[in-house]
This record gives sequence, C-alpha cells and structure tokens, in this order.
Amino acid sequence: MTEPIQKIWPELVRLILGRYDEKLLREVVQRFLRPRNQWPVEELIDRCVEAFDNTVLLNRRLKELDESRKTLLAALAQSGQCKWKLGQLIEISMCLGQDDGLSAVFDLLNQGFLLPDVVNLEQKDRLPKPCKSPYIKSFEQWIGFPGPEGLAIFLPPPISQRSIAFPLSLPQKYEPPEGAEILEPDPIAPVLQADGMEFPLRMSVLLQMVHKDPLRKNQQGGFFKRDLENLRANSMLSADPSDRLIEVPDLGILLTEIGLKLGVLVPKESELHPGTFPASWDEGLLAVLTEIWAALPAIDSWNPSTGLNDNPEDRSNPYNSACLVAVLALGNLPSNQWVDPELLESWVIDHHPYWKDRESIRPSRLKGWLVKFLLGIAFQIRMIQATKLLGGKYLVRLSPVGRSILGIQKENDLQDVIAKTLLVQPNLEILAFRQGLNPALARDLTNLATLKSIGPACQLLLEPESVYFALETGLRYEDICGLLERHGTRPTPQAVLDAIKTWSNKHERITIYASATLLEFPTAQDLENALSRGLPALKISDRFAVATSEEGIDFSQYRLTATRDYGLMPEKCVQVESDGVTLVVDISRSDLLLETELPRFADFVEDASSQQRRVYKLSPETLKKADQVGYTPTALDDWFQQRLGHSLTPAIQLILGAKSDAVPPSFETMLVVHLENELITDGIMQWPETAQWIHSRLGPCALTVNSESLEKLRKALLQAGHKLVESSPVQEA
Amino acid sequence: MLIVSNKTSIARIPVKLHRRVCLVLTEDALLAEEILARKKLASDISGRLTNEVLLVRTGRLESVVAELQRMGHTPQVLQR
Repeated sequence: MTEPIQKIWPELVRLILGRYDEKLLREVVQRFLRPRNQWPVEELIDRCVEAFDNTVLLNRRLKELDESRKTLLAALAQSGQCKWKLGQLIEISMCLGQDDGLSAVFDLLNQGFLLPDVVNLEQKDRLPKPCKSPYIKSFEQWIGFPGPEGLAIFLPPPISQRSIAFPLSLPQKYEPPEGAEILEPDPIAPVLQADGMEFPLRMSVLLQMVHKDPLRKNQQGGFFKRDLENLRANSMLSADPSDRLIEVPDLGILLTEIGLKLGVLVPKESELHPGTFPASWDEGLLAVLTEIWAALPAIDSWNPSTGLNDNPEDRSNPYNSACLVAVLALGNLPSNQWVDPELLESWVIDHHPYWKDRESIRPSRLKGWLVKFLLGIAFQIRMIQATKLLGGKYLVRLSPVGRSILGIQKENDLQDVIAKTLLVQPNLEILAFRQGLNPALARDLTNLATLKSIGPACQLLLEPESVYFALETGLRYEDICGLLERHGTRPTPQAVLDAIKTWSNKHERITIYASATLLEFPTAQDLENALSRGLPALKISDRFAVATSEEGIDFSQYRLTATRDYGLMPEKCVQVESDGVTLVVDISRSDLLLETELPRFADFVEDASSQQRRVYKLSPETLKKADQVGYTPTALDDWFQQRLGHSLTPAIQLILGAKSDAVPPSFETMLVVHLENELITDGIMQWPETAQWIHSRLGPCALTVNSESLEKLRKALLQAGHKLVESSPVQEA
Repeated sequence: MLIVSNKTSIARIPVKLHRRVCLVLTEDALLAEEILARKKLASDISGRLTNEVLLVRTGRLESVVAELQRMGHTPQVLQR
C-alpha cells in the first residue's frame, strides 16, 4: 500500500523544489522564508521543508496574504484534495470572485504556498529521483512546457491545515433572486440524511467483483464494452440505493473511479485488479467519507450531468470545481439554512467561467447536474441533509458531518454504532443490519463472506472460496469465529462453526512458502540447539527448519558454512564421467534443488561417493522412471545445460532415443579394404572406375565393399597399378 | 566448587542457509505423493526434501498454486 500524502509530503516538497532553477528557488524562498544568510541550495531546500512544519512562521506568512489568496487556499483546503489541475484552480478562483483566476495562482506559486506537481503525485509509490539539473526557470516557462505530468498544482498538507479556517468569499446569507419563489420547508417534514455506509459498502461489492474478474481497459483508457456493461448492470453496484432521492447516471463507473483513487482497485498494465482498503477504514466512518469526498475532484471521466464521459475529444470537466464551489457555498451559510438546489445551481452557473458563454453549451450541461450531485452523491456520503416539499421538490443544507468533512466544524452527529449487528444463520447466510455497520466491520465481512445484497439489512453468504480468501488475508479460524461472536446478535450456529472449521482445516493441509529461508543443520542435535536458542523457524525434518523471513534470526549465534540463493541461476556443479552416464556432484557447490532433482532420474552410487563428491548413475530404468514423473528429454536436456553446461551425452541420447517406432539398428556382412594412406583412399573414392564398387568409407584409410563387387574393384585397381591382396584372416579367439 | 562449562551450548551452530526457496509443505506424506503423482505438477516440482516437503522450481510458484487449486486443494501461500 502506498504511503498517504500526509506522511511523504516533505519528500515531495524536496523533490519539487529540487527542480527549481537556483534563481527561482532563491526568489521563492526569499518571499517564504526570508533568510538572512546566503545558504547553499540544498540547505535552502531543507530549511524550506522545515519551515512548512513551523506553525508560527506559516501563520505569519499566511496572515500577510491578500484576502483573495486566502480564500482560494481555504477552498482548496476544504476540498481535502492536494492535487489540482491548473484550469480547475482558475475556475475556483473565478467562482470566488477573482476576475483573473490565474494571477492568484501565480501569486501563490511565487510565494511558495503552492507548488507545481512536477513529480506526478498520483504515482507516489514510484517517485522520481532527485533532479541533478533543475529546469524550472520561471512559472511562466513551466506553464508553457509543463512536461508529461501536465499542469497540476500541489498544495502541501501543512498549508492546507493552516488555511482551512480562512473565510471564503462566498455569500453568507441565502438570498433568492428577485421574482424567485421562496420555498420554506414543511416544519413537520422529516429531515432526510443517509447513514453514509452506501459508498463504503459498494466499495466492498466492487472489490469482490474485481477479485473474480479484473476490469479491462482499452488503449484509449476506457473500459472494455463487456466490463462497462457489467458495471452498469451490476444490481448491487449500480442500482439505486434504498434511500435514493434522485437517479445518478453511471454510479458504478463513479464508484470504480473512486475505488481507483482510494487504492481499493489497483491498475496493472491494462487491467484493474483488487487492491486493499485504505487505512481510513480503521479510523471510522468520518475518515472514510472525508477520503471519498477528497477523491471526487480528481475524477475526470465521470460527471453528474451525463455520467461516464468516454469521448476522448472532450475531456473538459467543469463539474468538479463547480460542485466543490456549490458545497463550499452551502458550508458558508448558517447551518440551519435550507437552500433550493436549483437556485444554487443557477448561482454557480452565473459565477463559473465555463458557463460564461451559455449559447455554446449543450442544454443538457446547463441544468440538473448540481441536483444530481447534491441529492445523489453528496447525500449518500452524508454531507447533505434534505427535506421534501409538498410538490416533491427537495431543499438541501450541509449536514454536521459535511461541515466536519470540510473541516469547518468539529462536532457532528456520528455516533458509535451498535456492535452486535450480525445474524448468522445455520444455512451460512449472514444478515448484517445496516445501523450497526461501520467501515472496519464492512471490510472484515467483505473479506469473509460474499455480498449478496445491500440494503437496510445486507445479506452475505459464507462460502468455501470466501473463507479461503479470509484465511489468505491472514485471519485464522479463531479470528473468524471471534468476529462472528463479537458482532453476532445470537451465538453462531454450530453448523456454521463446523463448516468454517472444515474449510480452515482443508486450507491448512498444504502450505506454500513462496520465498522462504531454509536452514540446514549438519546434525539433528544442532537443529535442536538452535530451536532452544529461540530460532524463529518451523522444524520440517531432523536437520531442516524453514522461516518465512530472515528477520528475527540472530545470526551472531550461527556460523554460516554456505549460503545459496535460489533466486539466482543454478550453479554448474556436476561433471560427467567418460562413460556418459555417471554424474559426479561437487558437494561444496551443490544445492538442495540438485540434491532433490538427481534421485528422480539417476541412482545414487554409494560405494563411489565420498564426503566431497556424490556419484549418481543413469540407466535405461532410471530414465524411464524420470519420463513417468514428467522429466521429458527436453527437460532433462535443460537440466544438463544448467548443471553441466552442455547437452545430454551421446550415451544418454542413445538410451532416450530407443523408441518403439524408431528404425531398428541392422547388420550385414561386408569386406573391409585397408589402404596405405588417405591419399589413395581419396583417389579410390573419387575415380569413377573404382568409386562405383565402394559401399562406404569407414575411416581415413578404410573402405567397405560387397563380396560381389570385390573382383570388379580388384580389376579396376589393377588398371591403376594397385594390387589388392587378401590379408591373413583373424584367428578367432 | 568445580564449574564445568558446556562449550557446545555456547558455540556458534554451523548452518547452511538456503535463501529464496520455494517449497510446499503438506500435511502428510500421502498428500505429497498425490502431488508428485500429478504429471503437470511433477515438472514444476524439483524434488522431495522430506516426506512432507517438496521443493518447487524457481519461478514456478504460480503454476503450482493454480494446478493445486485445479486439483481441489486450497493451498495457503505464505509470502515473505
């Protein structure tokens, strides 16, 4: 999991400032830090990073800022988002009353409160190296040539924290325009507020869905058609919530984008794979909702007006800044002030630069988007309270939770939930009553059981696969039972406990150590001694113990006789004798793989072995056995290449080549003609008169002839002046 | 009083270290036999360290896990 930005911001600031040209850096630092001495660049950057943590200095500098700059910083701080596109900042700045949004951003960049994101914050787990040749000479130059990271701005968290309470230059009083109908809520109408668990629960659905089938993306960055259809058709992901106030287009797509921002989904090449729930899931509902709120402005491919924006030629998304300004405007009003969302939408449209030229904007982009955002998204993350008028229209106001999320109020109405909220049934179904759910419990249940429906009571099903998944995440049988007992309204049925026990036991039958450290002791007594000294390893035989990692092994107690790393290429430590079938292993260089591999295709020859060398012999029987356990001739040849540095010996190839359909060896009677030297032999083979009677050449000075051709060869040789005589027959033994 | 020091207990213990080993630990020898008898797995398994412990060839972990799951097992994979 990647580190949150709150932890790694000093490193980010250092990396970004390291890309400033010295002149620009000194100018910025002069305004921000006002150093009295001429410090070297590295020290200047260090002091600057330290200054971000200096509350007194930071407050002093922020106090000196112009009100229009303060209000922009406050708006960004309340959004919770620390990375912004330059265009969005200009839009927000203009909505906040600035005629020229760019000058405010420039001013904040020049004073060091904002930084250009030249390190790509979204890939914070793969940060670039410090820059050796700073290239940002001025911010005007950076805007002209922003590089592959694009025009993005970074707001360091300390600045965000200190400026969150600055007043916003937004209306503090709700004043409907002249002629507009003044809507007052019915005093007896209920105040509607979501429980805030809808999105966290749908994140669980998304995670389980992606765990089964990763989502695929095409080259344009959009989803594959089938995946898109699945996202839209999934009854739990995209269906309307039970307490919905308005229909939201492509809710499943929005949740996928939020999941990506939170790390619940992880992009791998062109697919989205399951990730992990962020740490905020352990910190309570408010932390989770704050994180979801902070993720919203960074989503480009979805908007509340049309849903998914898959048009690569039109990536403009003014709704992020517009929706933020609308929520900020609600936060600026008194907490009990109800607002007509349509009037609020008109106000935002009047102030947002995107809608300045209304004639050129499609009608669908003009109306209805803010109502969908407020009643569909902000309502579900508990930021908005709503009340219904007689005509079916809704009025909205920012909820206490919404004010807490924006950081403008500490108190909220989130209460500790009831711990006992599960009903585990003997048919392995779990009913989780919504009022008792919190993000941590929802996450644990997601890891343990398959979600079947979400509603006032969520239905889950315990299945072998889901329990195995829970065990994979590190839970044990006792943990699972403890979870069900702790949150169950009734004792867990015995049948359920038995099923979980069975699945757990089955799971424990095979354990795979992916990359273990194996300790091999010379004697069993040595291993016992090591264990008695606290060796953190599992004994797997008389002389072997296995540890998942070397952490915790006190190496001062051991003398390493040898070390083998199985991540490296196997060592060549075997030699073959002249017979081609006897293999001699050099014990000092051998490893476990070798010692376990060899007995599978060769017999150990104890008599010929010693402490330094082990001798194995291959035979037709051992090679047949090897073939039965999967050692094909190709696999064997690979092994020889790795361990001996050459291919199979001819003797082994001879044995391996003996197949039933192969041409059988044959024999026949031939006469051998021995010649005096190679030259004569070559001559006989070349001259047609003699060559026609030769059957084959055996060697440099030997030829074979059929008995029928012998006389003809003799005559031909006589013509050339050579007399063929019969040598004395070999006496049989 | 005569104090006899036990030298062997405080001496450093000789050990050969095998790093980054991939191995399968089975509940019993029969299960190891069952795995070895599977032809697809046999080529991924380098050999048998003990009755219950099998060594997996470098880089074959994923195919071993997939094949074990195909056999109906639910191996517990311990990462570093």
